[in-house]
Amino acid sequence: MLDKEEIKRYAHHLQLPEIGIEGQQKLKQAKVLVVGAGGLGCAVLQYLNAVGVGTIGVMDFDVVQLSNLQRQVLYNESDIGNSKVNCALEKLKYQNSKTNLIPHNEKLTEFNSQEIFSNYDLIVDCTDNFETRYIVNDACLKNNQAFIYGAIYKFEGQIAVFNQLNDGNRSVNYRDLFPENKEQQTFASCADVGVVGVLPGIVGLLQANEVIKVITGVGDTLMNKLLLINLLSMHFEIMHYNKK
Amino acid sequence: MEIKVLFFGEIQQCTKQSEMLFRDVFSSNQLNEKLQLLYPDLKSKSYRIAVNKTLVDIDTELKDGDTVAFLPPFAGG
Repeated sequence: MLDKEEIKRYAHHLQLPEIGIEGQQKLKQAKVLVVGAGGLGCAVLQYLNAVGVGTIGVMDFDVVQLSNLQRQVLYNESDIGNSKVNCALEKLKYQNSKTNLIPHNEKLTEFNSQEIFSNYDLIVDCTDNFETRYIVNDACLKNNQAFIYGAIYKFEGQIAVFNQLNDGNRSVNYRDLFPENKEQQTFASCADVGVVGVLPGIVGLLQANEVIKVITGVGDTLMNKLLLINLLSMHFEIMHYNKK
Repeated sequence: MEIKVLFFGEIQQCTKQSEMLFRDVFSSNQLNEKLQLLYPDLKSKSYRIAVNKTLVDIDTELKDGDTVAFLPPFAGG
């Protein structure tokens, strides 16, 4: 149940017939793990926390660096050298004292992923390398969990909802779309090729929007679809894909 | 017969352009082979092909006016 303060805090959600009290209670009951507290994670975390997702896990093993501040907007100069998870939690708890924030100050591996994920309803993939993306995918498949994928390159982004339950079947997953290719490990990360500062914010907010839709059940999610965005051309396109 | 081809992400680094027009290509596999001959670096890249905004798993016939997209995965976050 929402308390009096929460009814005031989330008043503008409660006014929406698509969300209302029932949807807000679903958000409060939801447990969401954000894997990666970099550019995408900073955007996803602030909005999931603001909209009242009841339990939010934050997972990262990295520390804040000066070159992160161009796009990782949860952190400031005094955070440099400190753990991203600890710095993120410090900011988020002042943003919303009503949410339950859980730190996971460790690297995601194939050995710890399933157990950690099992404490959550939904996973958000905000990682920055292919190896970890396949670990997220495989743990979600084993645990029968949906996850929200976001990925960025220079001025371009990709967003999808993978492994979502739909009429008794699971939707397309990351491996269906992009089978693993070990040579990809040499592909570019943000540190190698650069990324425009606003891109992870925009992609992260689109991921947070999918989280809200999956939890509340409103709208059409990006299940069996891949949204592509390009900030130079301002083309937003949806590619469709169905499992054979 | 004209096919519009769009390149995304790192694929653009191989092709040095975001789109091209092709005449006389009749299937997605034929187009892919043609592009790999023009840009040999493509062979070492991982990507998916979409025809008219639908990702395809098998060789797909192309018709006049079709749009084909070459989509690599992105690592960044």
